[in-house]
Amino acid sequence: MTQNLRPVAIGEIIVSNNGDDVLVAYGLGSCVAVCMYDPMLRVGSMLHALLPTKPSDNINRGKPTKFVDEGISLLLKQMQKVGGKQIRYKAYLCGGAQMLSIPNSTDAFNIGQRNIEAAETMLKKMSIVIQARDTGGKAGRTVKLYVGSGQVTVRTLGHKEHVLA
Amino acid sequence: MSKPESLWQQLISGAQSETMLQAAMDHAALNLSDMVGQSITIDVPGVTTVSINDMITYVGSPEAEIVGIYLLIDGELQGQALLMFSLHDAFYLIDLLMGRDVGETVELDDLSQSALAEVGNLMLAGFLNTLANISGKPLRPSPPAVVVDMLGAILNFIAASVGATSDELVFVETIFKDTDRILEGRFWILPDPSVFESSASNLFT
Repeated sequence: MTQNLRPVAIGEIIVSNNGDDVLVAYGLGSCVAVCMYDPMLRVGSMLHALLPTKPSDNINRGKPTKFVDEGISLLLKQMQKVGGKQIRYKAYLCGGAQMLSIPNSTDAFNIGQRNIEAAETMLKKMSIVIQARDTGGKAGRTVKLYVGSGQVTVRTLGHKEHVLA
Repeated sequence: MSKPESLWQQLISGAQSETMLQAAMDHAALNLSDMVGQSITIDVPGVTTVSINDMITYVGSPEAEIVGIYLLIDGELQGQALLMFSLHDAFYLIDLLMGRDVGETVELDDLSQSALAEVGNLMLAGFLNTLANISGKPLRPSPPAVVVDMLGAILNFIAASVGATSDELVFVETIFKDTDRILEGRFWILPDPSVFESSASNLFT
């Protein structure tokens, strides 16, 4: 089987219906990867987001897709464009580790947890159930979505890739 | 009348930027050199701008196992500092610090982590002391945090702190090596994103 690895960088969304594609977010720390899969169409997508929520002011802060809430909303639009139906979606949430703990630091250091909560809130708002998750903790992860099968795998340092769903 | 330049402005874009960076990084390298009892050389320090997208591959493979020593800077030079070593180089550095035979260190126990934290302390202190002497302003480093993980995961934290306001990361960087060129480390000093807001918005113009 040929595998076509397609890295999803921070603030990126990739949607694919190519069964050979493997969408991959390498080395997620506090970032989260939101994977969405439509099993009927065999369309998969991944968002790699950095920060929880896009501020509501109009100041240009760069790519909207680096924010979890805005990213999920754009990911759903892109899925819809290729014929995806929300009712069929299987959603997976990974990442949101707390990489560093610094004495006397503020909750800015809890960015991972805030990213997880932002994704949960947004998905709940869209009535999408999270099928499986690997979130929190203190270790970085690499997350893959195999577009052909809809399988999601997670790897942490010193461990083999394991199947999440 | 124009406002006096902030210390970050002087350091990143001022007329004396190169001289200041060189002196400050030399001091950092000298402190490391005193610790390991070997001469440490540094590449000419520079100011680098990379997009958040590219910052990880700029350093290496996102899954590479890296030891990061992270500190915050308080005072006139508010920001963050990150020292990065490959795991192999971190082991070698610990061998040097502890007076062990090369290859003896094979894991990062608490003692090794404190030794690495001390490297972070002393290198950043060297950098900051030089600038405090130039500016006459107090600059304080936080206690260091030592983390071992995938490069991407370590850099996530820095990306998150900058990403709230920009897609670009600006930092002061040097690479330092020992004389045998076995040890190689990367040292980043990053301005707090607030530096680029308000009065400092014309930092790079």
